Amino acid sequence: MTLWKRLSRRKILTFFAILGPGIITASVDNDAGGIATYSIAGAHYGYTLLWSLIPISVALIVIQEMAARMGAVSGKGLADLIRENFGIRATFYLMAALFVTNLGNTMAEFAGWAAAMEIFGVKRYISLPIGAFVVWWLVVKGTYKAVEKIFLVASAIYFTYVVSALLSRPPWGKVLQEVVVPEVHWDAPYLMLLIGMVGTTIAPWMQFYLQSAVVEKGIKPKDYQMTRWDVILGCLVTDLVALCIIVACAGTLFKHHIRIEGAKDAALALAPLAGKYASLLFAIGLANASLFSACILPLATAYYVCEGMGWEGGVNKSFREAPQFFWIYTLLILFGAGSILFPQMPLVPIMFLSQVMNGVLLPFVLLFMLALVNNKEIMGEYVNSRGYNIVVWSISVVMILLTLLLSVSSFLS
Amino acid sequence: MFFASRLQHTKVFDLSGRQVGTLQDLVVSIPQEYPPVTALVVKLSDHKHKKRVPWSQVLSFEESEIFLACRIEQVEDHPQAEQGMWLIKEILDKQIVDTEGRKLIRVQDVQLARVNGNIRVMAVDISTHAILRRLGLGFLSKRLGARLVPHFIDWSNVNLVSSKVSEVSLKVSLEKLGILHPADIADIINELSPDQRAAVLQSLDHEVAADTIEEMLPTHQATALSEMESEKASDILEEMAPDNAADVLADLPQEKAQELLNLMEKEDAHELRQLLAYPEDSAGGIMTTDYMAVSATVTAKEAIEKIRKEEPEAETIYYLYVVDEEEHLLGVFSLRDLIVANPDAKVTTFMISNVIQVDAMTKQEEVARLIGKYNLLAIPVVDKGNHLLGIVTVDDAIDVVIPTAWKKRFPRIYSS
Repeated sequence: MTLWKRLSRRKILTFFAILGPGIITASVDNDAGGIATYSIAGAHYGYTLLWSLIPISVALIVIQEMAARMGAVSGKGLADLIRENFGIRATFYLMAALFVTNLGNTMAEFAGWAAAMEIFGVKRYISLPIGAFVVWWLVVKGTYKAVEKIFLVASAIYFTYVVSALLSRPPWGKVLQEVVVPEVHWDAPYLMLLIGMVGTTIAPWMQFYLQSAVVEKGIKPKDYQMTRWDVILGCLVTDLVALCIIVACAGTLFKHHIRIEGAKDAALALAPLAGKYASLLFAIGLANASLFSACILPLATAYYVCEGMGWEGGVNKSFREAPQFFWIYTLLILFGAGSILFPQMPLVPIMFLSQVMNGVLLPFVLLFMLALVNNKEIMGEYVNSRGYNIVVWSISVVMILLTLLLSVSSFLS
Repeated sequence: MFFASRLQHTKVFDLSGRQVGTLQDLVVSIPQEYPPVTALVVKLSDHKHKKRVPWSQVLSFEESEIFLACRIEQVEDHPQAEQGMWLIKEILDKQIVDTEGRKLIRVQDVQLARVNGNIRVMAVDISTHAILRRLGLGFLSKRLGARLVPHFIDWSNVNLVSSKVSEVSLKVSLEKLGILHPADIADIINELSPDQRAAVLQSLDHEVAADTIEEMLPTHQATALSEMESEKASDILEEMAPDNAADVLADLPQEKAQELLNLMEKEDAHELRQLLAYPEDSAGGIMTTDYMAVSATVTAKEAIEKIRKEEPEAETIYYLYVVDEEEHLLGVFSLRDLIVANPDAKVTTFMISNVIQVDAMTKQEEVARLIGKYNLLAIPVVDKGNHLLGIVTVDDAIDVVIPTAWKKRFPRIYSS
């Protein structure tokens, strides 16, 4: 009898074992760029952009679900599948684009870290080397258990934004109404911000990350139902945090007509309006999110590029065994942190540009994903249903239109 | 010498001298050594149809142009042979195992050569040079220096692991894998997809498969077994060390674990059920039931004979335990004590009766501590009534302190 006791306990544990890829991916999603965009949305437009979180959540869930499903069914990463099914050319250009985009993203993360530390009075010449060292140290010296714990704590720190939102004492009735009832402004900056929000929430590299995480966990199609819930839960948490950031800024900065340029301004401006603690919590959240993403982005990028190109990869390999892997990883961290050291480096445009690049790359990644997820040879009975395809295609078309709109408008400005 | 990637889109002419299409792929016969091309897949000029042209109807074969020995209308489609694989569609860009380098590599290009009028697959190019060549950037590699020279893996050292490979070809191909050390096979298998993992394990013989599974990542062990035919899976479980087998079983769904236990030999299954009853972090959970025990009445000579007969595993040979008819633990002596003892001496005369032992429910950390404190190679595990249940060997105790799984999983921590 005891045998079955042990097995059923295991079964409960499986849920927690499988729970994970979705939640961690979701946490990384609200990175430095995301926090900046949501802050500006709240400060400049109050609660009027809240409605967009519902369609964004739907799109996020649908897209992440496909990535997770592909991982569970094929047992292969996205870069791997693209290489095997579309050949070297497509893979090479996609990986090159992913590398450049993620270099931009890494710069944005370190910029966010530097900005957050400046709020605490730490100069970037000190904070950046420390940040880069922590990232490097976690990868090279950290043990699995320690790093997992650090990540879980980091994920929990995102709730500082919930507290920040509560401290701003928002009118919850009005917030709820704005979430449900769309209120679209047709001016250019509003649309730009809308596109920015979509771009920062649904980033291309996350699809690669999530799919590999599902593969690494060894999740089988049979267990997939639980993973689906993990993904949905993760997406909802992402958007809850986004909502809290917008609410925190809307209830204070917007009410007092304070214009901000980024997350740092938001944190500083919060102090006189919502109190010192709301401001500090906001800054801690930004520092945490930036460093958390800076840990994962360069390493993840190095893995996917090597996976697609067929180069050896892995931090347990020596430099001689896996030169490309270490070059990519080192370049991302050195350039990412190093470029921000220059005092002339404009932090806000960098964060913005990295999101534009994300937005431009995303439609291509979506098209590859759609082709793969509907391939019977890879997915078998797990291909998209007809209705699902209609939903994903409409999202892709909207995303492509939004991206075109964004590219055109950023060229004009 | 040809490169598969370069042959794509080569113009194909028939006997009338007119271009009838372009080369799309090459069909190669995998079971043969250095697989020969048995047919060409030609994409006809109408861009709709393709034809498999048997090698016997090819007049000349060059990178620049291919001539057929008859008119295209007369060509009869080459039968889709069991062992035939499409070189570009099914091998290029895929992952294969390099048995010499003992790792998984990606096929950047395939090198072919003309041998006695046949075109044969000679080697796999895995260099970055091949990537640049295929991107049309070959000129760059000269500037980038010597590191980018072609790096070929001879075809005789290549193993196909794709799930699309027919069973016959897979068998031929995987025979080579069996010569590797199980730890190397496990490293390779960890990087494969689940169906490939099952296919490779299934092709190995039971003992190698069992050793390989023990070296694999814990998350993959149960998955691999559940993807296999139950009959084969239960055979492999029997070959595994009981403590490891119990760990894997505990990770499987109830019904599957029960099914596998029912398929196993009665005695092995009974042992496993007992092991599964203990919490996984207790002495009972990490102990093995493979141990040497002798009755109090035997002599040193008889004990040595028993060792010869049972051929115990390396980790369990160093200590012998003395038990009475009811399996009560009476004493212990080492292999050394046994060898230096007078052959006719009763084991009770040189055994140590004050045995350092642990209860089955003792925490694993405490077990590891005792083994370390007393410099033991193994420690016996008993129940409340002092019945000998099994032993915890030093290697399993080390795993408690420094789990191998973490070290192996570390490289990909950021994705879990």
